[in-house]
Amino acid sequence: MIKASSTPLSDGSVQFVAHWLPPLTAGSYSITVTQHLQNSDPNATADAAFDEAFVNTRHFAVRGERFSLDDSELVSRFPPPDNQGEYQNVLPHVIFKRRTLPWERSPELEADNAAWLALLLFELDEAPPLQSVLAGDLQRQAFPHSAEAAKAGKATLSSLPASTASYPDGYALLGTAGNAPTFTLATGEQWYDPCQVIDVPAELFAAIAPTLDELDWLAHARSVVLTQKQAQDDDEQEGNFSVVVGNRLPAPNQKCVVHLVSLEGLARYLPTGNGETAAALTLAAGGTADKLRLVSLASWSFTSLDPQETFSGYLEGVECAPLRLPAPANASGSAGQAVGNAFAMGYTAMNHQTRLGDTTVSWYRGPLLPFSSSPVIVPPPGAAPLVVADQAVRFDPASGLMDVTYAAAWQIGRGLALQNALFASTLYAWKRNEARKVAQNSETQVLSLRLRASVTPNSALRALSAAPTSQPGLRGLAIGLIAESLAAQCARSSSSSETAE
Amino acid sequence: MTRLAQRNSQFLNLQAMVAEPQAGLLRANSSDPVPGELTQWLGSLAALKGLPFGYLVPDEAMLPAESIRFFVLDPNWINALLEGATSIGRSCTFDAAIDAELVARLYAAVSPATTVSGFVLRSNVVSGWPGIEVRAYDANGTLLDGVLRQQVLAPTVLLFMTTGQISHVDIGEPSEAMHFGVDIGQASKSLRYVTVPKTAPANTRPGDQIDGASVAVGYRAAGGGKRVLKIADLAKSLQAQLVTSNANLAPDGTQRPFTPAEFALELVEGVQTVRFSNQDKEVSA
Repeated sequence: MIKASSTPLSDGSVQFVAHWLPPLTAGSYSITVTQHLQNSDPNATADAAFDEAFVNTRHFAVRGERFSLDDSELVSRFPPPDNQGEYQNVLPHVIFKRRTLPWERSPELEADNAAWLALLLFELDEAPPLQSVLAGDLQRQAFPHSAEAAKAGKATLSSLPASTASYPDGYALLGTAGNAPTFTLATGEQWYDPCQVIDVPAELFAAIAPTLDELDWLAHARSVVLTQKQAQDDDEQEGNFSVVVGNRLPAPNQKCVVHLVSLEGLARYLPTGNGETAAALTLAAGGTADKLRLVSLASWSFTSLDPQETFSGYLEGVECAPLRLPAPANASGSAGQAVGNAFAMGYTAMNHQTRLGDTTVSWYRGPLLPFSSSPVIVPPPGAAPLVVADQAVRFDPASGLMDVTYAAAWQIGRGLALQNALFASTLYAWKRNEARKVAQNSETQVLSLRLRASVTPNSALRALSAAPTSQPGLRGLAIGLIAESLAAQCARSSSSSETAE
Repeated sequence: MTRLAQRNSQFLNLQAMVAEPQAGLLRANSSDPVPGELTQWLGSLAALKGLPFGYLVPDEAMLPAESIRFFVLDPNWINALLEGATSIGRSCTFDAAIDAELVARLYAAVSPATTVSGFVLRSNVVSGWPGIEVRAYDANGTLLDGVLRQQVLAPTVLLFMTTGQISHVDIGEPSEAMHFGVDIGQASKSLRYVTVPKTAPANTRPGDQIDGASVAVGYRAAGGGKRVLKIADLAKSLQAQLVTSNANLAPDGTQRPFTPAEFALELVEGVQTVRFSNQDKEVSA
């Protein structure tokens, strides 16, 4: 890992990193642990002497993207897909979420700094069509086309034409003579995995593919500080991305297609001599291919066109103003002036169906004001509780129009709270709980008042004070007696007061 | 009659219980923490999360295509909104007194910022450049870093809200979406400082362009005018030019290695930033 600058990242800065090589490239691995035990005492008896090795081997596989790439791995593509803009001096690039992705495989046998991913840019008329096939269509043998076929042992022919080279042919050229490696599936991969391919004509591939040396230059990694980013990135302070850059500039006024292709094991097919010498697409079975089948992991198109459609070009065209309706065109008279004033204050006229059923027009204004200061109209919650939204409707006697702004705010607040079941039930439970606590406290308070005022002379209380604390049963009885006498007293007082009335 | 008086006093006691002592009793309890779920959700509601867009911008004419609209958040609106949200479970007058006390406690625990401002941007920039970077400054030029919302509400609509009073904002391309390119007119590539030598002009930072230093860009001849760059050649000449300009030196004065990281830095075309202040805007690259 080589960093282009060693200064710590400050806010909004980018640090370039040459490579972020994965600790293990994708593939199958085995790990063997040998423990050698030996009695080190040379004079040990034959019984006690031992010399033994315990060997344990475990196999594991490192999986990696190979025939397809999930869209979520792509952070962004530039130029933006389906975009039109002044891109004739821009090299296309793609940013991956995983910082090691471009170096997880290799165009050669041993992984090194050369990336296995490359961006090939085609002009629309030369772009090979994208074909949806299966991974087995990258090789020549018949293979099962579905999980069911695999179970039944039914193999169907591969669609790879005889004169088209692909990864197994490229692999066959690697390694030493007579010791050619084979292109095999890794753990978890199936020949019936779907993938997308393009068949690139040999001359075109030789003209636009990067050389093996260039692959090294065309991929790098970045650390970006994310604090200015959107909310979903909140957990991450710093983002590590990997980037693959194309080597071809889009022609002006052209629609272009970019394919992110896998060059795994295709080192011998890449042009050499600074890109000027084409390499023959030698087939494993002999002969030379006229096309090369490549896996396209992602593709998009854009048009290099109008100088206005750049980032700043767009923003230069953006009109800047406070958030409010434009002033009415034919604002004459006092009515027009009133409407103009209301618009200037951010109001919108809305159809309003009143509680009584008639329709009128009322003013509404969202929470986003076009000006800064405003007096306190609605106090903070708790100061003046509302029972219904209509309590917050304001009436302008001059125009006879209502302002439903705060009533609408109250109503939507209540609606949103009710919609969130967790919040609504928690709030209600909390309120009820607190209210019950208050009621209990008050009850205790009133009871103690009453006890002090009227029950003290009662015999029951005497019994209570007389009852030794060591006898809870007796105390309970005394308390019961107090309650009883209180109830009787209440009943008496209520019946007598009724007669008095 | 005495009994009636007695009952009346009892009733008055009850009334007093509803009106006065409760509040006192509640205050005695007010050290109990408010459930976190409540304050959290009310806090996000105060930042207008979950509010239908029609409530924010009631009329499309307020936010035409390719426009930016600045606003200040109405504290009254937020008060009414939170008052509505906390009104659940309020039914009788017995509740009202307790309720008011509880809601006030809840509001105190949420205590949303009073001065909040922001903007709504509706532009193709929002969909074309995901991860736009926004920096808002107040009238003194201080960066407002209490960002409450920066969210794409619709494919082309971005809502930004921060505490404090915005005077101007810088909207920039996402910094990891800087792009790579060459100066097509001159078929050349100007260079940037990897490290800043002592001879450089004052206030030069790494990544700034080097005055007058550029290298020629060559196309691959094979294939015939397909505008494929000779990447390896370009890397070589960039490295040579950096050595000449002393722009890639280690702290001890020796040459630093030239790797794909330095190559990427040299290839970068600047991130564009556009500044919007109340009625004006300026572009800088």
